[in-house]
Amino acid sequence: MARENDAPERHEIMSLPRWAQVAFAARCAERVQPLISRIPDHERRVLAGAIDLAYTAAASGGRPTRDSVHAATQALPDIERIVTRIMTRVNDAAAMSAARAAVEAAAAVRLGESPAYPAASAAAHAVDACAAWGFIHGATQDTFDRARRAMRQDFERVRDAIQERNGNDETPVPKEFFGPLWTEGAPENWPEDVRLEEKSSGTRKISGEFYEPKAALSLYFDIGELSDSDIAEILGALSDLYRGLGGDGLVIDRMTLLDPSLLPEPVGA
Amino acid sequence: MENQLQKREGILRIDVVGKSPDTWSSLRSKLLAAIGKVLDSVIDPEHGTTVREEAKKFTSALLDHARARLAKAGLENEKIEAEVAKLYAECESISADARKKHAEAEATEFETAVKRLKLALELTKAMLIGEPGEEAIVFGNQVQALLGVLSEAAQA
Repeated sequence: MARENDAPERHEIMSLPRWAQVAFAARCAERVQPLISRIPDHERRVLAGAIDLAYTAAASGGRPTRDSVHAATQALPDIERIVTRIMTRVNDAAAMSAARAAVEAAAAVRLGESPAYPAASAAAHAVDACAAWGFIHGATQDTFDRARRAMRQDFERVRDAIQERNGNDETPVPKEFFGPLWTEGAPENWPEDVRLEEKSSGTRKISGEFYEPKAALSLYFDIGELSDSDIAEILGALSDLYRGLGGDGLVIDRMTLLDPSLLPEPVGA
Repeated sequence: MENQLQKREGILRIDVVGKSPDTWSSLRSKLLAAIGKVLDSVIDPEHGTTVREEAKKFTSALLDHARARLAKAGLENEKIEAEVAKLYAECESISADARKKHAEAEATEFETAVKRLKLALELTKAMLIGEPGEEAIVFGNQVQALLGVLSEAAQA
C-alpha cells in the first residue's frame, strides 16, 4: 500500500524494455516542465522538443527510418548547451531539475547505449523538481505523493502492458498510451503549462529544429593574468555596450577551460 | 611563512549571446563594430595591418578545433566557470539596479558603456580576431602568445 506513493526505483525502470524506458523518461520530464518559468520561448521550445524527440523515438521503436533517433543524437549537444545556459541563469532548483529531466529523456534515445541510466535520471530529476517546487511553495505532503503516485501509475501501466504483450526492446510505446498527466488532478497551485505559439504549420520537422541561428561571440581570457572578477567585469562591460546599442544584455552560452600544456612537446632541440 | 598564491594557467573561452536571439541576430554585427572601435582606440598596434591580417586566419572552425584539442576536464575548471558565472550574474544585477536608478537616454547609455569597457580594458590587452561574422576576442597582455597557442592547437 505504501508503495503506491513511491516513485519507481532505478532497478524497476531498468527492468522495462528499451523504448518503454524512453517513453517513461519522456513522461516524467513532461510532467514537470511547467515548473520552468521565466525562460524565453525559444529555450522552452528546445526543452519541449527534447521530450518530443524521446516520445517520437519511443513511438517508432527506433524503426523504420531512425530519423528521430538520429535527430536526438545530433541535437543533444545543443540541448545540453541550452540547459547549461538555463542553469547558470535561473536560480531555481525546481526549474534546473525539470530542465535536466528533459535532457536525460532525449539522452535516453541514443542508439548503441543503454537508456537505463538516463531514463532513471530523468525520473530522479523529475522527483527532485517536484520536491524543490514543493519546498519553495510550501506545498503539502499531498503534492509530493500525488506526483510520485502519478509516476508510479505510469510505470506500472507500461510495465503491465509490456508483460501482457510479451514486449521487448523493439516494442514501440506511443505517448498516447499514458493518457492524462494527472489522473487525480494536478497538485494544488501547480503551474499551468505554457502553450508555445506554433512556429510552423503542417508537418513538424525533426532534424535541424534545435540549431539556433548563432553565432555566439567567443571570448578568450588568459586566466594567468585575469582574475575571475576581472573577467566578470569585462563581460559586464560588454553586456552594457550591447544594451547601449539596443540589446537586452549578454548571457553566457558556454565556457571551456583550455590547457596549453596539452599541446605536444616539440621534438628535438 | 609567506603565503604564496599559486599562479593559474590556462585560457578560459566564454561564448556569449544576446538574451533574445532575434535581437542578437540583428545587433551582433553592430556590437562587434562598436567593440572594434573601442579596441582600436586603446590598443597600440605594433605591427599595423600585419596583425589584422594574421588575426583573420582564426576562423571559427579553427578556434573550435583548438577548443576541442585543449579542453580541460575536471573540478578545477568547474570551479572557475562557476565562479565567473556567479560574479557575472552579480555584475549584471548591480548594473540592472544602476539602470533603474539612473534612467538614461540610449545615447548616454552607450557612451557610459564605452567608458566602462575602456576602463575594463586597462586591465589587459585585447585583440579582435577572425573573419566578419566569426569574430572572437582574445584578452591578455601576452595576446600574441595566446594566439600562438590557439594556432598551434588548431593545427595539431
